[in-house]
Amino acid sequence: MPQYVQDRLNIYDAILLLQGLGNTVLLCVSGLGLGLVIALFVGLARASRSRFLSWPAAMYIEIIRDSPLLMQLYLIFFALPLMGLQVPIFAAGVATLMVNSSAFMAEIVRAGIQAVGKDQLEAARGLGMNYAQTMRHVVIPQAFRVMIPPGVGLLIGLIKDSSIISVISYIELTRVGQILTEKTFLSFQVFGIVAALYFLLCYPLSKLALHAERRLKVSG
Amino acid sequence: MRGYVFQFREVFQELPMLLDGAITTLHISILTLIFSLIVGIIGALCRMSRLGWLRVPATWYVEVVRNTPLLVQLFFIYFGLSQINIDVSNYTAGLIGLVLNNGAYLTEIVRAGIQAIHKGQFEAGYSLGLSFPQLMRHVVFPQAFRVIYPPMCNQFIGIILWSSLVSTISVHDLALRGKELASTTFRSFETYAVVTLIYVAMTLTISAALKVIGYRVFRRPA
Repeated sequence: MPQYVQDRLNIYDAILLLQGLGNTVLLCVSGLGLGLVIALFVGLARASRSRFLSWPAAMYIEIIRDSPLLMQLYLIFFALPLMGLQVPIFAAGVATLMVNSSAFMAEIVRAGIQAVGKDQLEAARGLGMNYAQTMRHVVIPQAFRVMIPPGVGLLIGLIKDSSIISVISYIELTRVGQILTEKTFLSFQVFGIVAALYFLLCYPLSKLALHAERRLKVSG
Repeated sequence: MRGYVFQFREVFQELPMLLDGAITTLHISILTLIFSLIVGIIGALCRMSRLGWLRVPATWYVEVVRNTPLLVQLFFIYFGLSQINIDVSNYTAGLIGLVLNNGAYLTEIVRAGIQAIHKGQFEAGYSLGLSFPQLMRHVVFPQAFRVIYPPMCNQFIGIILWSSLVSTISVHDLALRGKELASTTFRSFETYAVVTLIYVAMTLTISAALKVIGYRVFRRPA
């Protein structure tokens, strides 16, 4: 065994793992937050009656949902420098999660919008509201409620997907696991701990999503 | 983007190599689907069992797998197996990881399919004197498969996309071939654009084909 290899994990490794966990959360929250903004526009375009809006939106959603996140990451990671943007790897990671989650979120937004009854739209029009006002004051507040359970599900998916950002060497939880494995050769233990930390993050969220879904069903 | 000239020629010259990788991707995906369907059927029966020693481990298997990333599961298996001196090929390690991962999702799909069957069917089967395996084989699964088929197809598309992660443990699938090509031609963007389009073409074709098959087999849109 090489000299630098330690045979056990120490307190500094634990701190590193927690920092990795923090970075994972940071990555996911930024990715989902920005993705939600794009998703609102794409989802509105997708639900629109105008083909000039709905078809490009549908294309965007389809291509992203039918290609691997790893490829999207590589494309963004290598495309940004081509456009003359020297961005840190964190930004490339966030951009990838943003683009990926926006496509899935757009479908959730569309489903939410379409779940709002037609009579609501007619009532809003009857009150003299224009399209933007109807969306802003009538449709989106109601759609938002329907969007919460699948939205939480998406967040869980995003937390798991963010592990892929480790391949461009951003120091999030999985990358910390790789570093510690190279240092200690204790793969089972290290990745066991990493998996447990992901589980601690995702399991409560999945219970929350289930709870939200049940409550939504009860209240109709 | 100014000053950059897109050149796809070198990428297209190596298209046969990429397609070879695509075959590996399909190969591992199909094997994953078959094995994880078996895991899913066993898992679903265990999860619905009245016996606690079957139900509890199956429930935890599903929860743990669904709440941890596939990449971490792959690393756990790939590096973990070598730590305890079990020597498997990268392909086998990748396949085991994908099967364990998708087995949990298929457990839930199969369970939903079995639960969709009316209770009267079970009672009728038992009153005809069928044993549990006979009941499953002749009454439940033929009907459940109809319910299971559409989400199973979606899962298969997911398997094709997620199988790209086995490239991180050096299985020569489409994603890894793309990575190698990008590093030899220095045409990263063009290479990954082509590879992404191959993935999109594969998933769109396969999901359309599966819809047609489902329509033919079940006489209704899947």
